[in-house]
Amino acid sequence: MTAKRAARVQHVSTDSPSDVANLSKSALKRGRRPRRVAVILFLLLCVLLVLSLRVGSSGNFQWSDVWRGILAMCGLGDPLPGAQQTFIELRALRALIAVGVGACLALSGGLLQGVFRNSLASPSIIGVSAGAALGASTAMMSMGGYGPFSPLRNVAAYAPVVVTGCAFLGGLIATSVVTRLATAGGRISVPTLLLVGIAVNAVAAGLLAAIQSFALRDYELSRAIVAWSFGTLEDRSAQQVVLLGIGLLVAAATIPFVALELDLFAAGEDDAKALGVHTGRVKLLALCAATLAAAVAVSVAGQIAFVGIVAPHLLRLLGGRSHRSLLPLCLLGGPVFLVGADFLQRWLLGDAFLQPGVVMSLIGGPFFLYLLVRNKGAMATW
Amino acid sequence: MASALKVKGVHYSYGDPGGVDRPGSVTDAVAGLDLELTQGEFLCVIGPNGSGKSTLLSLCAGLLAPDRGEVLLDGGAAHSMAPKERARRMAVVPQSLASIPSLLVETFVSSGRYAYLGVWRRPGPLDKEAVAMAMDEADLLDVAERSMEQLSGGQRQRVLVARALAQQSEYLLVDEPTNSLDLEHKLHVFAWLKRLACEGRGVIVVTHDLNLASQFADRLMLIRDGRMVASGGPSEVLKRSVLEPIYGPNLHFGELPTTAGARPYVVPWLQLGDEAR
Repeated sequence: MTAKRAARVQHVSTDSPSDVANLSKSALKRGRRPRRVAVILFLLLCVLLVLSLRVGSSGNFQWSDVWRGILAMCGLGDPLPGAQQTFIELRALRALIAVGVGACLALSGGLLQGVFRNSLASPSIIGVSAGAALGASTAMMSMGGYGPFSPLRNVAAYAPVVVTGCAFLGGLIATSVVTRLATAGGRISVPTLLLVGIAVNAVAAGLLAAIQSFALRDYELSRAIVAWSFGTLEDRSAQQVVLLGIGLLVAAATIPFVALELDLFAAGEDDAKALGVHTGRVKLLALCAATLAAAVAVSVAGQIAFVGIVAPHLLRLLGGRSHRSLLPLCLLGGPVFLVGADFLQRWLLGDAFLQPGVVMSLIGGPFFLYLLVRNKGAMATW
Repeated sequence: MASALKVKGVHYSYGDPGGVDRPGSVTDAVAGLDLELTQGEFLCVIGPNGSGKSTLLSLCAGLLAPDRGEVLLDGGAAHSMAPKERARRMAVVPQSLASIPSLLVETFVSSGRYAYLGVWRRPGPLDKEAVAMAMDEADLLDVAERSMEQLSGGQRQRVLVARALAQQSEYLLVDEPTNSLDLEHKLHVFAWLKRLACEGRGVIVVTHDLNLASQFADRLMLIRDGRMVASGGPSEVLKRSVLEPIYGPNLHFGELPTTAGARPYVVPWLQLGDEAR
């Protein structure tokens, strides 16, 4: 027994009891924080949604009219007179699309950053969005009667589903190329990841441009493709909202099965494997979910860059680094970010409003540069 | 029947011609090693830098699949076991982590229970008990609420062992546990690992510290270039005829008394005037 006691690891503590008490209090606070952030984000989102119904290019509504419009949409009251109800409904559709797209892109970014263990990864940076855009526009062109896939013409009635499916395929191809090329000896190299992303983005952009010039003859089609490739929230249909919702639900359903695992990835993939994580399966699941989320977002609203990088980053600062809180928060934070940006630019710029894709690039580009500057120290070791 | 970890004629090469640290390497990191470990045994694997010690440990842990030969845990190949099943039977204490996660110590130790969690990943009372026991065993209860980044080197090492203890496995595979620790902490870690072996676990420790290995291990295994040079009790391995070809002639040997009889020690020793030769 004495040997056992002698062998016992001695503990040298410098803590005074009050220090320990403070520490555990702050730990408790940290544990509660994600929930509080979620409540705040949810309230913020509700406010933003109501505001975006009120403000728009077709004029501002009275508060009472906004409420009446909302009640009418829920079937609880009489509709507003004339075109007003239609305006409200169009704005609601646009806002819902923004919610879905924001959630999808933020979730996709959160998942990709977890898998690649780097906060610079996001669907637009590593080329997943571009791959999805290429898939989607190929589908659009084919259904418009161009290109080699003439059988697709017969399914034009299911256009949104086909476009989303092709976007998912395109995104998957981009994801697998990027993942395969950036992995060497079981490790992911961040510089290679970003370089492969550049290459995939360039190739996809070239092919997109080619598709657009093919479609130039057809005014309607080229207009649709161009408007969509800038990232747009206009003229979307209810069918697309449903599609977006389904895609988002499926992608979000993977959260419970990858969140803890991605946390364990943080200390290295081998370490996670030794703890019993099926690393291959988790990566596959997370990458598929990220690609699906990015693909539905892209097929509905085009390429909106940087939501997937900015939103998870800010959420990590607010609600902590654990993917168990980060990924669910993405579902609220992404919408707040996109709906907020969309509302702000409509409110500040009035009628002359920019595409959300443009706004996001204007916010996100500098933010990406800021991340690079801030991570200078870490980058030196890449 | 007591379980056993058996390594039979294992070969492994990194086969990564573009690899930065092993340019154009085609030589095997591990070239035909055999090893057997039963529960309650304390085995130390020693050898010079780059001899394949850590690769051997990864092979034993089933993290790498051998090119040839096999690693068997009770007759089943270690690397093709379901990850969770494997983690419940073998716990790895890494030399260091790729990056220090910004987690609370308790959260980090809890991650050792991953292999026991159900579909919803919610820890049950058994998991909480195992974590509490591991933290108590490692004397970490006072720093449970601290962040991993605030720990000293010695504390961090204990946290890594505690996480492995929370896995409640039959085998502990420990990679260089005493790097960057001072003398006192080195001794504590080894004595602790020895006690864990006495309690019925099979323990493999990869280490550079020949003297601590000599003092605590039941068996030593000396490897070089992926091949076994010597294996046996401390006095069979730590002798001039075995070590001189590997570590050079500037060694001084001696013996220290322990409760388990006299154990050899060896220290690097440059005799005055030797530099001139």
